Amino acid sequence: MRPAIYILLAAVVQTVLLPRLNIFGVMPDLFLVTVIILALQKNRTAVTLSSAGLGLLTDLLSAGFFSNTIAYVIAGNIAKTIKEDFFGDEKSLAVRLVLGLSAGLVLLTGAGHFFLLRREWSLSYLSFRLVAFPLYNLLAWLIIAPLAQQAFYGD
Amino acid sequence: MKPLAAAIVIAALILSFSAYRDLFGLRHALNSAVYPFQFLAASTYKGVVGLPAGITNLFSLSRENELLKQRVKNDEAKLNQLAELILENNRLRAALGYQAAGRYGRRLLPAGVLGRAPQVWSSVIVIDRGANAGIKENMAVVAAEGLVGRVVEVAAFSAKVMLITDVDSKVAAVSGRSRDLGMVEGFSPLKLAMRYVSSAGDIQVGDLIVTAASSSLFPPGIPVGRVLKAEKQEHDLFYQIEIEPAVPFSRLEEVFLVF
Repeated sequence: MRPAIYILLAAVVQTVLLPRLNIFGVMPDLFLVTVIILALQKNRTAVTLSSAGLGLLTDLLSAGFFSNTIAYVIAGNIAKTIKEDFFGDEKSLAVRLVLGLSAGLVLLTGAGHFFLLRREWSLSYLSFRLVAFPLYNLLAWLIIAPLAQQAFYGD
Repeated sequence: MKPLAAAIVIAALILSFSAYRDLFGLRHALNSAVYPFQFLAASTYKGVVGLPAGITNLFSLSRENELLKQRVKNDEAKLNQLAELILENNRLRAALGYQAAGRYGRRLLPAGVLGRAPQVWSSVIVIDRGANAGIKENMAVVAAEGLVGRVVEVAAFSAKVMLITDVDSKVAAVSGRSRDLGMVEGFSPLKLAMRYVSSAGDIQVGDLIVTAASSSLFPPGIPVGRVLKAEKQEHDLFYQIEIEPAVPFSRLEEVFLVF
């Protein structure tokens, strides 16, 4: 039950509260941060399926393409692959994954819009987003990591 | 299990471009299920944020009430004059064979903004009116300042509105001054781009851009924004135009649906 409550709370916070705390349209992505937290402890199948589930949830709460499903599955698998070959402090790995994958998500989805859908974005805004989004996600990770730990692992 | 990831990615790509994007009603069901929690959270947030202002306002309410009563009295005379002008305008338009017009010529239904869709590159808001209020897809949405966007998805009690700042949004618009026609597209959450305006036209910084009569989705004459930058090189076919939206989207809490 606890994962379901966590996911519902995250969905409400993500859609209602965080948009009102945005900085020039940038807000943290709680579900991406959750995917990274899960990737550090679950096995690959569980990571893939839970990333897909969380991505599908956010896409169904949005409109249009299933871009989050694609992005979260890729991000979850990259995080898992890096985790499998990593020896060291898990917290520093989590920080690097949050920053790196957040920037990667901006680039991946931005590239998808540009190359697949032929949509143009402001370059200066893309640059701003590449810096602000990872930092905002890092702040979100600091806050929700203990809650996610409690919800999914019970400790 | 990388084949599993690849299969999910391919399935998501296929679904994105298919007619089954609502997953056989799952999208609407999920949005309807989440709506009560979103409504509660939005109401709580607005109540908490409005509380300090509400307390300080108590002390000035009486004076403000008197000022507003006086303003209403003054405006009543102007409104009567305006009503007469509208009637005369309609009579003259009818005499010339045009249809009667009013402000947008449509009924407006107010709606509260619950929140925003959780996608990185999309600008889609969620409002607290849905199919139960008669909302339909592609309805125009406006605010007091100007054009907000259009309804892209309707659930039972809520609906999603694509803002004009969304990268997928396109609005046929004209310059209020020179009547040059172009297409306004989302460029960033703070700016719009106006494309396909002929370089032979006359667009200047500060021009008000409004929706065009040729738009099939939006009533004509709704403010879209003001020109921030209008440049053209010697051999360009079109202007490079950036627009500041008329509506302050970061503070948007109430909108109106155009019936």
